[in-house]
Amino acid sequence: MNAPDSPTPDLNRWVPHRIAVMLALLLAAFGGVAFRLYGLQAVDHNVWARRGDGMLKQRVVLPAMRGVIRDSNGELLAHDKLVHEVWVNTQHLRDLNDVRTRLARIQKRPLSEVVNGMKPEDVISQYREHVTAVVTATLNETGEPVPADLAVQMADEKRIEFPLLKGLPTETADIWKARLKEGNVYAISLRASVRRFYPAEERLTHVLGYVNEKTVLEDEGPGGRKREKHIQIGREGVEAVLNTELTGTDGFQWIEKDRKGREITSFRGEGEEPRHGHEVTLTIDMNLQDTMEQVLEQAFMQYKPKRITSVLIEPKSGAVLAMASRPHIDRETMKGIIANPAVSAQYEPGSVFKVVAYTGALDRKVTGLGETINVDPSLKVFASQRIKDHVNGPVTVLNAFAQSSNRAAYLLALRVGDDKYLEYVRNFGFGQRSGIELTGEITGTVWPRKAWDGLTFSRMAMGHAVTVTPLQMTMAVGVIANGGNLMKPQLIKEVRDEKGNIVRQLKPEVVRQVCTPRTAELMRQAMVEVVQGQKGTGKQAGIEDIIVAGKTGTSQRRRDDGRGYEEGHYCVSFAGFAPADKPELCAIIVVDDPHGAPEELYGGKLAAPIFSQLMKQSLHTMAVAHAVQREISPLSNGGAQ
Amino acid sequence: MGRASVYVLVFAVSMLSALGLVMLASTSYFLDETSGEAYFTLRSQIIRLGIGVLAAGVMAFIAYPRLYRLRWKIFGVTVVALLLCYVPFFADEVNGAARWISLKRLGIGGPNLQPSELAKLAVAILLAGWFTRHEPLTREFKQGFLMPGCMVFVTVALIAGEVDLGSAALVGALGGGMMFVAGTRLLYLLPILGAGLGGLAWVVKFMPNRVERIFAFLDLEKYKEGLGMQQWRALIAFGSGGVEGVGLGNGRQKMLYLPEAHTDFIFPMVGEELGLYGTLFVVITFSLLIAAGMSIAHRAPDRFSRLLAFGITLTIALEALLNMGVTTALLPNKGLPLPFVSYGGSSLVFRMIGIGILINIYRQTPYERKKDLLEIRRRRMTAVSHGSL
Repeated sequence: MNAPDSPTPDLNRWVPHRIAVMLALLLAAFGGVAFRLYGLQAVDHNVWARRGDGMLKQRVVLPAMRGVIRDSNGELLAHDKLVHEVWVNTQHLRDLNDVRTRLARIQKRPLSEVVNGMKPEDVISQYREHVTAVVTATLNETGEPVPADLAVQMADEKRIEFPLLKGLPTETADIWKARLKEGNVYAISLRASVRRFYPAEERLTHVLGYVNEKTVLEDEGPGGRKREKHIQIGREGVEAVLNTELTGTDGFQWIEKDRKGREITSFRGEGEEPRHGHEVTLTIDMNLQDTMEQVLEQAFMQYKPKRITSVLIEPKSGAVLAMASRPHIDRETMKGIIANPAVSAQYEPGSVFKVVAYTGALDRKVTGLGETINVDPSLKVFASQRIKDHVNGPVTVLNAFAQSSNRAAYLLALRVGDDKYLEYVRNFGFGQRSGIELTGEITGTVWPRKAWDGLTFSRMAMGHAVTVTPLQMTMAVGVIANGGNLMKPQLIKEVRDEKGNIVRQLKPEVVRQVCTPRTAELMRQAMVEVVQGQKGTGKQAGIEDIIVAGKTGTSQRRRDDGRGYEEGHYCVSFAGFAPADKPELCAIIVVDDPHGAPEELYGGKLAAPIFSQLMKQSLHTMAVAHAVQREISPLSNGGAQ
Repeated sequence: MGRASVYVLVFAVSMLSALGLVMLASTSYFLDETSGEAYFTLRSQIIRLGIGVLAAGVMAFIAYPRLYRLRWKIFGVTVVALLLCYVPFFADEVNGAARWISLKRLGIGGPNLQPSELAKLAVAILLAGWFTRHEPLTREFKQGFLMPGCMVFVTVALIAGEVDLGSAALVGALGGGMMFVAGTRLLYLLPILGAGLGGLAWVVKFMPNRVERIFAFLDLEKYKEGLGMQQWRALIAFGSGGVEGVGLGNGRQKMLYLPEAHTDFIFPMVGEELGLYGTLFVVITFSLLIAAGMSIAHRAPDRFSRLLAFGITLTIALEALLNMGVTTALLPNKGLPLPFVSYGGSSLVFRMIGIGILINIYRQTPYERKKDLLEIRRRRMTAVSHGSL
């Protein structure tokens, strides 16, 4: 179009041409726009539609409730409950368009007056003052403290939102909803989430364990956004072991909201109902557990030991009916001993462990209860070492057991032979995990034969140089109560899914036969003699009208670092079952490092009375007491062969 | 197009205005829900459209040579109005940009005015007048380039200073286009274009932070939550509409997700609700409008009316193109309304006044007597250039 210069160009001839050029350029540009639109709307339609879905569609999580935990009678021990959080969205507080209309409604003024007659800053600050007033009034109404920096937080422009309150019950949340609606406050919203509650409170803490509740960021799907999700992870105890069963699967619903946050119901997408967690019923009987907790609490206060632990089982099924320790977890502060001492604290069992040597000897038929053996102080063990004993001279095997003779235990173990003896130790379940569904279970220590020194055998026979857990010892004593069969300890009575179908059920499981029923019967008599006999060490474990079988144990306390022993510190215990002829309950009391007069620090003096109290009250609770007649079995048929 | 051009023009303007009302009814439902008065914006837009049609009618019957005589006064008023935007007392600042004069502050009442919309018309009138007055010197440097260039520059600078870069760029392009059509030497115009592009390149190279804002549109996905959010959502709106659209009233982006969905970003809403059919209808209607306007300019009886008709048409064309370019992310995001379709009073009324002027020019074009055309044209030209009409 660049016409050659001429002195008097006819400009007006050019104008239409140049207009035509411009028109062509403009129409070409419109053509370009049309081409772009064709690309966006026809070619890439699906790509952009998907991006649009990702932006607008929200995946709303329908939270699944964690399964409840009940005791064997159906008492609720742990369950999830809906709680509410109050969130303040400061971005909405600054949304001028929205704030204007709300302020107009609150101040009952025409909108145009607010839009045209007020500075935007004034609109926002006045509305914020109104919201702050509503919040303060509601906080006062519901009895919550008003944060000192509430106004500052509300005006914080750096934040989008912040939580004002957490963990509100539904009733309080309803009050909030009503007040916010009355006050025309949209910038504050309530969010529901689930929280774990323990109606069991401070009882059964070690068995139940606890859950870690935390909020994690979860990917939310096509939009690539993150969403806060409240999760509960079981830590310790049943909560941890059965975490998979207890944890439900959150449901979801794809929805679309307008920017004011209301769902557009006509755009509701696909969804899935939440699957709630399984319901777990424990073998624990809270009536017995209560009894145990009370007895332990009392003993704990009286003797101020480092630790006191008790396990109560049903011998014939291996079901754990009660299990407790002091000190325990404080659910409020999560302080205290978190691991369950019944399975994770090892101690040297002392004389209770003699049950192994005697069972071995009777089972191998290398002795009889009536045989008289000489527990002479001259008995040398190794390198002129002698065994300390409070029983001297000839004594029957039965009495040696009842009086807890150290030399007799070693003599009988010698008769069994070291390898065979070790086999009995292992068969009783020592040195291995019982497999109970609890966290933190340890094996305890049973030295292999090749690691023994000259003293190991004799010390092991009387319950030293070996460590066990309270649960192992209970199950071992349960062997005698159960006719020679070692049962696997059970904690779960049944698990049901949310529809009530039984997913699994308690199945008593015999681990192995440790000794013949006959041997068990002889041992039962021997253990009865400990409690009922004239010279029995465990007389204080007796219960009026009921025959109790058991064994006392006292050991010098091992130092916590495992190197040697602590002078003057003891671990005293009593394990036994009742009624002796038809064992209903089998229990152990382990008191680690009790404080008291030196003559008191024996299993028979200290642990036995606690055991008696526990057993008596438990049997009473079990309502079996009336059915049991006082009946001492004659010992004659247990004589030496 | 010849004689039919005015009918095409009126038809196109009517279709676009009607579409604007329909889309406003659809998009502003959610907007008005927030403000508490249903169809408040729709009602006010109908009133503005009425004012615009009235103004167009009046202008159609006011002989355009009057504008030639008033060109400096109109320009003077424009400059004063633009300057008022810098006076905090009069200015109504929205989002950091003082583009409006608040009549309320003056105690008159009524809607706020946007002087930059007046400026687009005033520059067209002034330049058309200038090149008519100095017709023989059009190819000189001073009269043909420097003086009109300064007028455009002052206007552009004033508009750019209130932070309305879209309108500033538009007025600059309008001035350049009119100078080109008037006959200014390309020797003078091309270096300006070159310097502009060179300056842009320099800014891109040495001030990367400054250009991030401008060039966010090149990588919208990266900026989709920030600088590029509006355009990203606009693209989503276009794309989800597909060929047939989701249906009138079913658009989802307008539910307050897409900012300015009823004003500068009405076009994506057309795309979402009415699909490719709707957007191509808009593009074709604008093309017809521009073609009709250019046809009127082409046939206009004298130099002033030609250049004025061209300037008015070019303004509408550039606004439409820039708006479409921005909403389809072909251009950086600068706020400009889509003429006749977007919600907004000043833009609509001044574009309507422009349409009225085009009609008036058409009315004074002697289509019937083609053989006398040259004679009449010559006579008018002489009269206009001597300011005696």
